Amino acid sequence: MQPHQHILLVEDDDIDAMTVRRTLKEIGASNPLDRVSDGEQALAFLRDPANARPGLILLDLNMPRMNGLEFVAVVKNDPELRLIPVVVLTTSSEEGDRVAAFSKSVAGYMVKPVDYPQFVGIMRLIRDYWMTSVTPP
Amino acid sequence: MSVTSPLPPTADGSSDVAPAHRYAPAPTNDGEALDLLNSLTKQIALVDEHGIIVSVNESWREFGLANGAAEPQAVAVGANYLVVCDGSALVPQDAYAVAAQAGVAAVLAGSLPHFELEYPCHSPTEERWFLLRAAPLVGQRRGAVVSHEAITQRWQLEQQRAALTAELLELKTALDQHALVAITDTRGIITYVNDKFCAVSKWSREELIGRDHRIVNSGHHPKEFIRSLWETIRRGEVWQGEVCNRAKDGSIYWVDTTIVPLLGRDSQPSRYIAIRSEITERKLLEELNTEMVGQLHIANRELSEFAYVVSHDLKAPLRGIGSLASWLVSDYADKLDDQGCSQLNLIASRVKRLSLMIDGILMHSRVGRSNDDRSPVDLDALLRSTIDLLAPPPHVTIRIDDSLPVLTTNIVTAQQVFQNLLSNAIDFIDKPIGLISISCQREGPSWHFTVADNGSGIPAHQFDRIFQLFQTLAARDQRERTGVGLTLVKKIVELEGGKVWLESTLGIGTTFHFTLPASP
Repeated sequence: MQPHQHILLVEDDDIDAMTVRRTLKEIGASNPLDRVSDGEQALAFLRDPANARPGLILLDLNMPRMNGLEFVAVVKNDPELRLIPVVVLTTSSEEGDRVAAFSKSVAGYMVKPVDYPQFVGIMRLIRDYWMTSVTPP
Repeated sequence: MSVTSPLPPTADGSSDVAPAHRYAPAPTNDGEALDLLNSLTKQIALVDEHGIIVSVNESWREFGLANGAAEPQAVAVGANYLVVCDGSALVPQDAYAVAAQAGVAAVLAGSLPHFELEYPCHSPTEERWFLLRAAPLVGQRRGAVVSHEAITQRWQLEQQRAALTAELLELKTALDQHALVAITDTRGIITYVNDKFCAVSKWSREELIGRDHRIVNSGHHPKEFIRSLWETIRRGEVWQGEVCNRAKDGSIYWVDTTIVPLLGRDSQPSRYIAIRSEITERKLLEELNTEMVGQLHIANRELSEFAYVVSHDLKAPLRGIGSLASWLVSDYADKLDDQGCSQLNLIASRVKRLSLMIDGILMHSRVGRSNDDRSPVDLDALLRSTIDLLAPPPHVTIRIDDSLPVLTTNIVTAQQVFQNLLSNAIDFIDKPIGLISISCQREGPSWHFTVADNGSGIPAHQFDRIFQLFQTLAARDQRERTGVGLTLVKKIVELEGGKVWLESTLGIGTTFHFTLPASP
């Protein structure tokens, strides 16, 4: 991923969205962050040519209207969108959710810690990994 | 004496017969008649109206010789048969002797047309039975023909048959108490039903005989079920199964049924006998059971959904509170005094505790739901890796006294048991040198494990309390504990079919015991 590539955050909780935004700033990530609140909004955003195509999608699972797993199912069936890496960022450590997410070919699964400093650590890991990893065009 | 008389002459026709012999000389065909009588195995004697033996056949004489050797005259010509009856060796039992005497006397007196009596006359080596028959002489002469016939074999067969019949009757009575019995012909037309069949089906015997079993058909079973039943019994094989029937009043009853084909001479079924036990109550219980298991599944699913909701919906706002508290401290450090900062930090620590408690609830509700993943677990290896994971502080030594077995169980929950007991033990050590020892013994069908520490000990009145959810012994602010660990241990061990308990001496230490079944 390139430093200028956008990150799309699909998250309905405002504080969680603030946390991600704040964390990215704290670790010095320069990638612009776009935020939508559910799966439907995310699909609309991705399919709107006016928006920049993100280099990474950070996805919450439990959201109104279209939840994270439903969103991933659509994205992975869409030839235009399927190459964008999706990392799940969720509260749920339920085995069922983990299995469902990976069987829909997510690129990663992170459980949000309650503790803010730990959250920063996790975001740093995600950023470092995707900045290092070669990504599809 | 008439020529046509069937009476035998004297035993040998000679003149040395008893003085009582007052009959005329034998007719010309005497010789033939004598031969005929002598050829019989039946012992025959002719007695006069006083019971004096007038003549006997060869069998009578031989029998007298063979059995009354001491006084052969007692049964010979000239003796009084009535006296012989009275206490003779031939009729040793009083009741028989009295009956024989009375019977023969009655025939002689003309008050009985004839008399028969079966009586025992056992030899020292065998059981023997005889038939005594006395018939009056016809015509003007007075007297009677007395005959004895050995009937031991017949008598014994009759006894056996009577015993067998009685036994069969007993079995039938018992069967009738227990089972619904019906017999049908090859077309299934009912030819016999017992009372129980009538009582359960509520049809009368008259209504059932001549009909087939469709009269009790409930419609519960598919056609294939009935067809397969018929195919089986037509092949001459026994059919067994549970059948749902409908009684006359429309009520349903279930019967555990066995149909036995009775084979005819051509080895083809000639009739079918059906024996059924009523199992309606058991069936209803089974149905109730199935229903309850279904409800249990629903309840379990709801619980699992509840756990999911708790994990998502309670933890998300919690995380928000934690983050905001943490940002307030960092963003407004210059505007907050020390007290404000410490209060915000207290919020953060409570958020962490609540989060741990939610995790505990989730873990607790997950135990028993993930029971499917059972496999042989090497508890020895599991215990060692658990100790590594816990990384006990340097002043605490953990000793494993026995080698632990391999048990079929869930590896995650088994680890939770050891992890919680060990971390509890470590936390409660209050001495400069801590010692925790783990032992394991096979006791009958179970393995008995102990985890002993030399910690502060637990007062006996707290033994029950420590296994309850969210109950801790130390104030929360001294030790950050959720009070889930022992509750979890108890739940896991009991779900596995084991028990958990403890012994403790204040100041000396605590030993936790738990058992696990050796074979699940």
